[in-house]
Amino acid sequence: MKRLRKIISSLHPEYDFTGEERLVDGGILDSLDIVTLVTDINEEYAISVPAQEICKENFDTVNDIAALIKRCGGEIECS
Amino acid sequence: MQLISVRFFIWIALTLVIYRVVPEKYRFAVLLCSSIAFYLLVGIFSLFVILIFTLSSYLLALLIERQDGQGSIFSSLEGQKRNRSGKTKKSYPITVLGVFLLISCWIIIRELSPYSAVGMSFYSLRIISYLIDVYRGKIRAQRNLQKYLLFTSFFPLAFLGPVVSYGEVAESLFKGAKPSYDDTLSGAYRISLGVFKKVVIANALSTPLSLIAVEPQRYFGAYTLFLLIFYTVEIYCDFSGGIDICLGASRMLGIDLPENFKRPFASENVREFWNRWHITLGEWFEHYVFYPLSFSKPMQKVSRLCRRRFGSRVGKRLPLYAATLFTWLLTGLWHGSEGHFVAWGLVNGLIVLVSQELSRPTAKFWDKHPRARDSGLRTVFSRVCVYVLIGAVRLLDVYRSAPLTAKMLLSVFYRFDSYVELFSGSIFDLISHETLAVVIASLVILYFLELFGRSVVSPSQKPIAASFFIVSLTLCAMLFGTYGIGFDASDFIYSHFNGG
Repeated sequence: MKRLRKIISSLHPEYDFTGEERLVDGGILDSLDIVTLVTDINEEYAISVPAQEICKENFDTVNDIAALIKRCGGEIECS
Repeated sequence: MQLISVRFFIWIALTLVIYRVVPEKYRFAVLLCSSIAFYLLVGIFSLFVILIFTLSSYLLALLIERQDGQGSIFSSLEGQKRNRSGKTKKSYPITVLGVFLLISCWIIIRELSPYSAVGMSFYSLRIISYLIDVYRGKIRAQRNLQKYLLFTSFFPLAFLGPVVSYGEVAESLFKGAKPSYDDTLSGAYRISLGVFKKVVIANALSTPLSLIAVEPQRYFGAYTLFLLIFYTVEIYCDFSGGIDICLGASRMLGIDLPENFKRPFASENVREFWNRWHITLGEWFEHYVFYPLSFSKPMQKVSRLCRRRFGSRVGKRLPLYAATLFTWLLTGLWHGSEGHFVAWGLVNGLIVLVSQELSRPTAKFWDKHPRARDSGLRTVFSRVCVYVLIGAVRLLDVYRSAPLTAKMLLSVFYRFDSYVELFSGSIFDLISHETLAVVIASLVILYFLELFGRSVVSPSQKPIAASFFIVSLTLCAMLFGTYGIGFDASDFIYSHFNGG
């Protein structure tokens, strides 16, 4: 998940995304971040995240985002 | 019927008593009858409008669900929507037409009707989200018209929201679970808190601030600054107080509604503020406007074009920022169609985008000064900046003219004569010493009540303290609630923003 953590960190370099931080409930990611994140994820993993998957439950932790990428057909490397 | 009125509180009490007494399977019927009767008492026109909107959207949802087909704004965002048999849905034209007609009716009624349809702005959003969620397959269309009517007309939501989706409230609305002791005490506490905020603080500020606002040629400079500071307090206590009453009433019936405010003045940047203020409205526009627009095929094409033309850094931002400004424009229009609402929406959208761009340089700056970053002073400084910025934009509500608002804000920086006048005591011509003292003391009390609220999961964990607060807050509202000349205590500021 190194690539994924790098993408998320590019949005907020001040945070260290190695733990199980609550990204949305914790106020780290908001809607602008999510749109930027999804655009980057779509590009990086060559997938297309459907709009119905854009909800805070799918972006609240790094693992949630990784699971979303897998559901959309992307390949997540183990970290 | 008004939100702050003996009638409304009797209404809640009566509904609660009957709700608790009847068997579980009839409880949703009690809520439905209570809600319909409520709208009838509010006005026959309001009842007529909600019945029409409800019936038409009920039928539309059933029609949407029956269609099999392909291709739509929504399904093009989401990939092809397929039902279990593998066929694609053809409900796009019906969904889009239905939503368009609903919005059109809403605009016509709001702008052209001589009568006001109470709650229309809020239940319209509920209905639109319901239709879209049915289209997306997120929920099943409700076959029972009475249950659907309860969802659209549930009376605590009538005046100020919050904006709820079908999935959030359907189960608890229809379940008919008996309210617990915790529900009753927590709900009563919430209602008393709301009454306190509205009647003691917001009402006390209303008349003096109105006097400042209606005479900009007389009151400028320091008075504008005074207005900026205290109007934010007034609108917060007015709006969140009303929401407290709505949530409290609902909680007493055992129905939990989502929070609309989460300590907004603890925000350290503007983006955070809008995630803490009128939360449900922001989330509605996020889910049903901003995300669909941002990920629509046309917007994706624009994004690719921008990236090819302007490079990745700029190209990625342009469509995102266009979607943000458009969403904020719609948010402003939802509040009202006058120019200052449009200005309010666009200015707030711009500030959010500037905040977005400044977030990384700001973080880098603080990283170079870790002691300052970790000090309490930085937090206070950030919060004050957010308060002042948001307060300045709010003056658009007050002056109702973008050029006048800009002129009055500028006067803060050069009309020093007004500061001499204000500090020499002329402010007490507008607000008495006693009223100002009550307001400031009440804000301090509010702060400690906030600490109490955060110290417990539920007020019923400390029943003696909660009961004491309920009685004290109610007494304070009775003793210190102020009523200016021609002032209506039940008249909420926010209800003027969206015409119903």
